[in-house]
Amino acid sequence: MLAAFTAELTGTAIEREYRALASSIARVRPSDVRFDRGAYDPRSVARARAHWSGRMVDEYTSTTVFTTIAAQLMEANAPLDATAVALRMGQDELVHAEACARVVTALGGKVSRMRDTGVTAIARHPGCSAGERALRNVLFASLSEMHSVAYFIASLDGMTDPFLRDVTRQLLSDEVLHGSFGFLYLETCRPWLERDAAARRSIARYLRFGFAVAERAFVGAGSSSAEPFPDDAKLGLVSPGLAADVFRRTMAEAVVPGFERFGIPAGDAWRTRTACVR
Amino acid sequence: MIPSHLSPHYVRFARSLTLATTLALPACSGAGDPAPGPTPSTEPTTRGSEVPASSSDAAAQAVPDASNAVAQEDAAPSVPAAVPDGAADVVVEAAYPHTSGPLPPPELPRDLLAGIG
Repeated sequence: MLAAFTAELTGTAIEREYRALASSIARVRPSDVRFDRGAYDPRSVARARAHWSGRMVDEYTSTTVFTTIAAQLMEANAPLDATAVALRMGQDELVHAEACARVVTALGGKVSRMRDTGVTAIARHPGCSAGERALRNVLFASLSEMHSVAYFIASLDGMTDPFLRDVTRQLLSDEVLHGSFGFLYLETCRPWLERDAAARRSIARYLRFGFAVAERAFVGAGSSSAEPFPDDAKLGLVSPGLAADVFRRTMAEAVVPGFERFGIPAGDAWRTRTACVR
Repeated sequence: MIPSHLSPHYVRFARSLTLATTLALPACSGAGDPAPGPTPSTEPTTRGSEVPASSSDAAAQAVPDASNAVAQEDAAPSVPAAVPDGAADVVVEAAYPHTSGPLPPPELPRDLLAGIG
Protein backbone atom coordinates (compact mmCIF):
# COMPACT_ATOMS: atom_id res chain seq x y z
CA MET A 1 0.00 0.00 0.00
CA LEU A 2 1.20 3.52 -0.75
CA ALA A 3 1.00 6.18 1.94
CA ALA A 4 2.56 9.58 2.54
CA PHE A 5 5.47 9.72 4.94
CA THR A 6 5.53 13.08 6.74
CA ALA A 7 7.81 12.70 9.79
CA GLU A 8 5.01 14.25 11.80
CA LEU A 9 5.06 13.44 15.52
CA THR A 10 2.15 12.78 17.85
CA GLY A 11 2.30 15.90 20.00
CA THR A 12 1.64 13.72 23.03
CA ALA A 13 3.70 12.22 25.82
CA ILE A 14 4.93 9.74 23.24
CA GLU A 15 6.69 12.59 21.46
CA ARG A 16 8.32 13.71 24.71
CA GLU A 17 9.55 10.19 25.31
CA TYR A 18 10.88 10.03 21.76
CA ARG A 19 12.68 13.34 22.23
CA ALA A 20 14.29 12.08 25.41
CA LEU A 21 15.37 8.88 23.71
CA ALA A 22 16.71 10.62 20.62
CA SER A 23 18.61 13.07 22.78
CA SER A 24 20.11 10.30 24.87
CA ILE A 25 21.61 8.51 21.89
CA ALA A 26 22.71 11.58 19.93
CA ARG A 27 26.41 11.83 19.17
CA VAL A 28 26.16 15.08 17.28
CA ARG A 29 23.52 17.60 18.23
CA PRO A 30 21.81 19.70 15.57
CA SER A 31 23.20 23.21 15.43
CA ASP A 32 21.23 26.40 14.99
CA VAL A 33 22.83 27.21 11.64
CA ARG A 34 20.20 28.06 9.06
CA PHE A 35 20.18 27.23 5.38
CA ASP A 36 20.36 30.19 3.02
CA ARG A 37 18.43 29.05 -0.03
CA GLY A 38 19.13 32.23 -1.94
CA ALA A 39 22.85 31.65 -1.86
CA TYR A 40 22.76 28.76 -4.33
CA ASP A 41 21.68 27.90 -7.83
CA PRO A 42 17.99 26.91 -7.49
CA ARG A 43 18.53 23.87 -9.69
CA SER A 44 21.16 22.55 -7.31
CA VAL A 45 18.89 23.30 -4.35
CA ALA A 46 16.06 21.40 -6.00
CA ARG A 47 18.32 18.47 -6.77
CA ALA A 48 19.61 18.40 -3.20
CA ARG A 49 16.06 18.55 -1.91
CA ALA A 50 15.10 15.56 -4.02
CA HIS A 51 18.07 13.61 -2.67
CA TRP A 52 17.27 14.42 0.95
CA SER A 53 13.62 13.59 0.42
CA GLY A 54 14.54 10.20 -0.96
CA ARG A 55 17.09 9.70 1.77
CA MET A 56 14.40 10.50 4.36
CA VAL A 57 12.31 7.57 3.24
CA ASP A 58 15.32 5.27 2.84
CA GLU A 59 16.37 6.00 6.40
CA TYR A 60 12.87 5.48 7.76
CA THR A 61 12.22 2.21 5.98
CA SER A 62 15.65 0.79 6.75
CA THR A 63 14.72 0.68 10.43
CA THR A 64 13.11 -2.66 9.75
CA VAL A 65 16.38 -4.10 8.46
CA PHE A 66 18.00 -3.59 11.82
CA THR A 67 15.02 -4.65 13.88
CA THR A 68 14.75 -7.87 11.88
CA ILE A 69 18.47 -8.46 12.23
CA ALA A 70 18.00 -7.99 15.98
CA ALA A 71 15.39 -10.75 15.94
CA GLN A 72 17.76 -13.00 13.98
CA LEU A 73 20.54 -12.29 16.46
CA MET A 74 18.19 -13.48 19.18
CA GLU A 75 17.47 -16.62 17.17
CA ALA A 76 21.23 -17.11 17.01
CA ASN A 77 21.50 -16.70 20.77
CA ALA A 78 23.91 -13.83 20.20
CA PRO A 79 25.18 -11.84 23.17
CA LEU A 80 22.65 -9.41 24.57
CA ASP A 81 24.67 -6.34 23.72
CA ALA A 82 24.83 -7.27 20.05
CA THR A 83 21.05 -7.40 19.88
CA ALA A 84 20.72 -4.16 21.85
CA VAL A 85 23.04 -2.31 19.50
CA ALA A 86 21.20 -3.68 16.47
CA LEU A 87 18.01 -2.20 17.92
CA ARG A 88 19.80 1.04 18.63
CA MET A 89 20.84 1.25 15.00
CA GLY A 90 17.22 0.84 13.99
CA GLN A 91 16.37 3.72 16.31
CA ASP A 92 19.13 5.79 14.70
CA GLU A 93 17.44 5.40 11.33
CA LEU A 94 14.22 6.93 12.66
CA VAL A 95 16.12 9.89 14.04
CA HIS A 96 17.92 10.21 10.71
CA ALA A 97 14.59 10.28 8.90
CA GLU A 98 13.51 13.19 11.05
CA ALA A 99 16.82 14.96 10.42
CA CYS A 100 16.33 14.48 6.67
CA ALA A 101 12.83 15.91 6.97
CA ARG A 102 14.32 18.99 8.60
CA VAL A 103 16.65 19.36 5.63
CA VAL A 104 13.84 18.98 3.12
CA THR A 105 11.95 21.76 4.90
CA ALA A 106 15.01 24.01 4.98
CA LEU A 107 15.54 23.44 1.28
CA GLY A 108 12.01 24.59 0.58
CA GLY A 109 10.33 21.25 0.13
CA LYS A 110 7.30 19.46 1.43
CA VAL A 111 7.90 16.83 4.05
CA SER A 112 5.57 14.42 2.42
CA ARG A 113 6.72 11.62 0.19
CA MET A 114 4.81 8.59 -0.93
CA ARG A 115 6.24 5.27 0.11
CA ASP A 116 5.29 1.65 -0.02
CA THR A 117 4.30 0.69 3.50
CA GLY A 118 5.16 -2.96 2.92
CA VAL A 119 8.12 -4.21 4.91
CA THR A 120 10.79 -5.82 2.76
CA ALA A 121 11.68 -9.16 4.22
CA ILE A 122 15.34 -9.86 4.82
CA ALA A 123 16.96 -13.14 3.89
CA ARG A 124 16.30 -16.27 5.96
CA HIS A 125 19.00 -18.30 4.20
CA PRO A 126 17.26 -21.69 4.18
CA GLY A 127 19.61 -24.47 5.18
CA CYS A 128 21.90 -22.21 7.18
CA SER A 129 22.30 -22.36 10.92
CA ALA A 130 20.78 -19.54 12.92
CA GLY A 131 24.28 -18.27 13.60
CA GLU A 132 25.27 -18.12 9.96
CA ARG A 133 21.92 -16.62 8.99
CA ALA A 134 22.39 -13.73 11.39
CA LEU A 135 26.03 -13.27 10.47
CA ARG A 136 25.37 -13.17 6.73
CA ASN A 137 22.76 -10.48 7.20
CA VAL A 138 24.85 -8.49 9.66
CA LEU A 139 27.72 -8.51 7.16
CA PHE A 140 25.53 -7.46 4.26
CA ALA A 141 24.08 -4.59 6.29
CA SER A 142 27.58 -3.56 7.31
CA LEU A 143 28.98 -3.50 3.80
CA SER A 144 25.97 -1.43 2.80
CA GLU A 145 26.52 0.98 5.67
CA MET A 146 30.27 1.15 5.13
CA HIS A 147 29.43 2.39 1.67
CA SER A 148 27.27 5.06 3.31
CA VAL A 149 30.19 6.12 5.48
CA ALA A 150 32.43 6.55 2.45
CA TYR A 151 29.67 8.24 0.44
CA PHE A 152 29.03 10.79 3.16
CA ILE A 153 32.74 11.54 3.39
CA ALA A 154 32.97 12.02 -0.37
CA SER A 155 29.91 14.24 -0.15
CA LEU A 156 31.39 16.32 2.66
CA ASP A 157 34.53 16.79 0.62
CA GLY A 158 32.91 19.32 -1.66
CA MET A 159 30.12 20.43 0.64
CA THR A 160 30.61 23.96 1.88
CA ASP A 161 27.15 24.74 3.18
CA PRO A 162 27.35 24.82 7.00
CA PHE A 163 23.78 23.70 7.62
CA LEU A 164 24.09 20.65 5.40
CA ARG A 165 27.52 19.85 6.81
CA ASP A 166 26.08 19.77 10.33
CA VAL A 167 23.27 17.40 9.40
CA THR A 168 25.55 15.20 7.34
CA ARG A 169 27.97 14.90 10.24
CA GLN A 170 25.07 13.94 12.48
CA LEU A 171 24.19 11.08 10.16
CA LEU A 172 27.80 10.09 9.54
CA SER A 173 28.57 9.80 13.24
CA ASP A 174 25.97 7.03 13.49
CA GLU A 175 26.89 5.43 10.17
CA VAL A 176 30.37 4.84 11.57
CA LEU A 177 28.79 2.51 14.12
CA HIS A 178 26.48 0.93 11.56
CA GLY A 179 29.30 0.24 9.14
CA SER A 180 31.60 -1.06 11.84
CA PHE A 181 29.08 -3.28 13.55
CA GLY A 182 29.62 -6.27 11.29
CA PHE A 183 33.37 -6.18 11.76
CA LEU A 184 32.97 -5.92 15.51
CA TYR A 185 30.44 -8.75 15.53
CA LEU A 186 32.86 -10.87 13.52
CA GLU A 187 35.22 -10.66 16.48
CA THR A 188 32.66 -12.46 18.59
CA CYS A 189 32.30 -15.11 15.86
CA ARG A 190 36.02 -15.58 15.36
CA PRO A 191 36.40 -18.82 17.36
CA TRP A 192 33.55 -20.43 15.43
CA LEU A 193 34.82 -19.19 12.08
CA GLU A 194 38.36 -20.37 12.81
CA ARG A 195 37.03 -23.85 13.44
CA ASP A 196 34.64 -23.97 10.51
CA ALA A 197 36.19 -23.50 7.08
CA ALA A 198 32.95 -24.54 5.41
CA ALA A 199 31.12 -21.67 7.11
CA ARG A 200 33.75 -19.21 5.91
CA ARG A 201 33.36 -20.44 2.34
CA SER A 202 29.58 -20.39 2.64
CA ILE A 203 29.62 -16.79 3.81
CA ALA A 204 31.90 -15.87 0.92
CA ARG A 205 29.48 -17.45 -1.54
CA TYR A 206 26.77 -15.25 -0.13
CA LEU A 207 29.00 -12.19 -0.28
CA ARG A 208 29.64 -12.85 -3.95
CA PHE A 209 25.94 -12.36 -4.51
CA GLY A 210 25.65 -9.61 -1.90
CA PHE A 211 28.38 -7.51 -3.48
CA ALA A 212 26.63 -7.73 -6.84
CA VAL A 213 23.25 -6.77 -5.39
CA ALA A 214 24.76 -3.83 -3.53
CA GLU A 215 26.62 -2.67 -6.62
CA ARG A 216 23.42 -2.69 -8.61
CA ALA A 217 21.65 -0.66 -5.91
CA PHE A 218 24.37 1.88 -5.24
CA VAL A 219 25.88 2.30 -8.67
CA GLY A 220 23.10 1.37 -11.06
CA ALA A 221 20.60 3.91 -9.77
CA GLY A 222 23.12 6.71 -9.95
CA SER A 223 24.17 6.18 -13.51
CA SER A 224 21.94 8.80 -15.04
CA SER A 225 23.67 11.37 -17.19
CA ALA A 226 22.11 14.32 -15.39
CA GLU A 227 23.60 17.68 -16.22
CA PRO A 228 25.72 18.99 -13.35
CA PHE A 229 24.56 22.31 -11.90
CA PRO A 230 26.96 24.95 -10.55
CA ASP A 231 26.35 24.45 -6.83
CA ASP A 232 25.87 20.69 -6.74
CA ALA A 233 29.12 20.00 -4.91
CA LYS A 234 28.65 22.83 -2.43
CA LEU A 235 25.41 21.15 -1.41
CA GLY A 236 27.03 17.75 -1.14
CA LEU A 237 25.75 16.20 -4.32
CA VAL A 238 28.03 13.46 -5.58
CA SER A 239 28.37 12.86 -9.32
CA PRO A 240 27.36 9.42 -10.59
CA GLY A 241 30.95 8.72 -11.61
CA LEU A 242 32.32 9.51 -8.19
CA ALA A 243 29.52 7.55 -6.54
CA ALA A 244 30.55 4.48 -8.52
CA ASP A 245 34.18 4.97 -7.51
CA VAL A 246 33.19 5.38 -3.88
CA PHE A 247 31.30 2.11 -3.87
CA ARG A 248 33.86 0.03 -5.73
CA ARG A 249 36.93 1.35 -3.99
CA THR A 250 35.34 1.14 -0.57
CA MET A 251 34.38 -2.48 -1.15
CA ALA A 252 37.70 -3.51 -2.71
CA GLU A 253 40.04 -1.58 -0.46
CA ALA A 254 38.22 -1.44 2.87
CA VAL A 255 35.44 -4.00 3.19
CA VAL A 256 37.19 -6.93 1.51
CA PRO A 257 40.36 -6.70 3.62
CA GLY A 258 38.19 -6.25 6.70
CA PHE A 259 36.39 -9.53 6.01
CA GLU A 260 39.59 -11.31 5.06
CA ARG A 261 40.97 -10.64 8.54
CA PHE A 262 38.58 -13.34 9.66
CA GLY A 263 39.53 -15.88 7.04
CA ILE A 264 36.55 -15.17 4.79
CA PRO A 265 37.73 -15.30 1.17
CA ALA A 266 36.01 -12.02 0.35
CA GLY A 267 38.49 -10.98 -2.33
CA ASP A 268 37.45 -13.86 -4.55
CA ALA A 269 33.80 -13.07 -3.84
CA TRP A 270 34.32 -9.46 -4.87
CA ARG A 271 36.23 -10.28 -8.05
CA THR A 272 33.60 -12.76 -9.25
CA ARG A 273 30.54 -10.83 -8.10
CA THR A 274 29.22 -9.78 -11.48
CA ALA A 275 28.52 -13.34 -12.56
CA CYS A 276 25.87 -13.57 -9.87
CA VAL A 277 23.27 -11.03 -10.89
CA ARG A 278 21.46 -11.09 -14.16
CA MET B 1 46.47 -3.78 -4.39
CA ILE B 2 46.84 -0.03 -4.32
CA PRO B 3 49.06 1.20 -1.47
CA SER B 4 46.74 2.57 1.17
CA HIS B 5 48.42 5.97 1.30
CA LEU B 6 47.43 6.51 -2.35
CA SER B 7 43.76 5.81 -1.71
CA PRO B 8 41.19 8.60 -1.45
CA HIS B 9 40.57 9.52 2.13
CA TYR B 10 37.05 8.10 2.09
CA VAL B 11 38.69 4.72 1.50
CA ARG B 12 41.36 5.33 4.12
CA PHE B 13 38.73 6.25 6.67
CA ALA B 14 36.61 3.21 5.84
CA ARG B 15 39.70 1.00 6.10
CA SER B 16 40.49 2.46 9.49
CA LEU B 17 37.08 1.17 10.57
CA THR B 18 37.10 -2.24 8.90
CA LEU B 19 40.56 -3.04 10.21
CA ALA B 20 39.92 -1.78 13.71
CA THR B 21 39.08 -3.89 16.70
CA THR B 22 37.46 -1.15 18.74
CA LEU B 23 35.20 1.73 17.94
CA ALA B 24 36.17 5.32 18.60
CA LEU B 25 32.97 7.28 18.97
CA PRO B 26 31.76 9.74 21.55
CA ALA B 27 29.58 8.02 24.08
CA CYS B 28 25.86 8.51 23.76
CA SER B 29 24.59 11.44 25.80
CA GLY B 30 28.19 12.54 25.88
CA ALA B 31 28.39 14.72 22.83
CA GLY B 32 30.10 17.34 24.92
CA ASP B 33 32.71 14.97 26.23
CA PRO B 34 36.15 14.80 24.68
CA ALA B 35 36.30 12.31 21.84
CA PRO B 36 38.31 9.20 22.62
CA GLY B 37 41.78 8.81 21.24
CA PRO B 38 42.77 7.00 18.08
CA THR B 39 41.34 3.58 17.53
CA PRO B 40 43.79 0.72 17.97
CA SER B 41 44.21 -1.12 14.74
CA THR B 42 45.36 -4.52 13.72
CA GLU B 43 47.61 -2.74 11.25
CA PRO B 44 49.74 -0.60 13.50
CA THR B 45 52.35 0.05 10.85
CA THR B 46 49.93 1.58 8.40
CA ARG B 47 47.44 3.04 10.80
CA GLY B 48 49.03 6.45 10.85
CA SER B 49 48.66 6.94 7.15
CA GLU B 50 45.11 5.67 7.14
CA VAL B 51 43.68 8.19 9.51
CA PRO B 52 42.78 11.27 7.49
CA ALA B 53 45.00 14.09 8.60
CA SER B 54 44.00 17.04 6.50
CA SER B 55 42.06 19.77 8.22
CA SER B 56 39.75 19.72 5.23
CA ASP B 57 39.11 16.05 5.70
CA ALA B 58 35.45 15.88 6.44
CA ALA B 59 35.51 12.36 7.76
CA ALA B 60 38.17 12.96 10.29
CA GLN B 61 36.32 16.03 11.45
CA ALA B 62 32.96 14.41 11.60
CA VAL B 63 33.05 12.55 14.85
CA PRO B 64 35.37 14.83 16.77
CA ASP B 65 33.08 17.69 15.80
CA ALA B 66 30.63 16.23 18.24
CA SER B 67 32.57 17.84 21.02
CA ASN B 68 32.03 21.23 19.44
CA ALA B 69 28.42 20.74 18.63
CA VAL B 70 25.93 23.25 19.88
CA ALA B 71 24.21 21.91 22.92
CA GLN B 72 20.52 21.51 22.50
CA GLU B 73 17.66 21.08 24.88
CA ASP B 74 15.72 17.92 24.36
CA ALA B 75 13.04 19.68 22.40
CA ALA B 76 14.11 20.18 18.83
CA PRO B 77 11.22 21.66 16.91
CA SER B 78 8.85 19.23 15.32
CA VAL B 79 8.98 19.05 11.58
CA PRO B 80 5.86 20.52 10.08
CA ALA B 81 3.79 18.12 8.08
CA ALA B 82 3.83 20.36 5.04
CA VAL B 83 5.41 23.61 4.00
CA PRO B 84 5.20 25.49 0.74
CA ASP B 85 7.37 24.00 -1.93
CA GLY B 86 9.04 27.06 -3.30
CA ALA B 87 10.95 25.51 -6.17
CA ALA B 88 9.19 22.30 -6.99
CA ASP B 89 9.02 23.23 -10.65
CA VAL B 90 12.75 23.64 -11.12
CA VAL B 91 13.95 20.09 -11.50
CA VAL B 92 12.83 16.57 -10.89
CA GLU B 93 15.47 14.04 -10.09
CA ALA B 94 14.82 11.04 -12.26
CA ALA B 95 16.92 8.48 -10.45
CA TYR B 96 17.64 8.98 -6.79
CA PRO B 97 20.50 6.74 -5.72
CA HIS B 98 20.22 4.89 -2.44
CA THR B 99 22.89 6.43 -0.22
CA SER B 100 22.01 5.66 3.35
CA GLY B 101 20.17 3.18 5.47
CA PRO B 102 21.15 -0.45 5.00
CA LEU B 103 19.83 -2.36 2.02
CA PRO B 104 17.70 -5.34 3.02
CA PRO B 105 19.91 -8.44 2.89
CA PRO B 106 18.68 -10.37 -0.15
CA GLU B 107 17.91 -14.05 -0.27
CA LEU B 108 20.39 -16.00 -2.37
CA PRO B 109 18.40 -17.38 -5.33
CA ARG B 110 18.24 -21.14 -5.32
CA ASP B 111 19.64 -21.45 -8.83
CA LEU B 112 22.63 -19.37 -7.84
CA LEU B 113 23.10 -21.40 -4.71
CA ALA B 114 23.45 -24.46 -6.87
CA GLY B 115 25.54 -22.79 -9.52
CA ILE B 116 28.23 -21.04 -7.56
CA GLY B 117 30.88 -22.25 -5.32
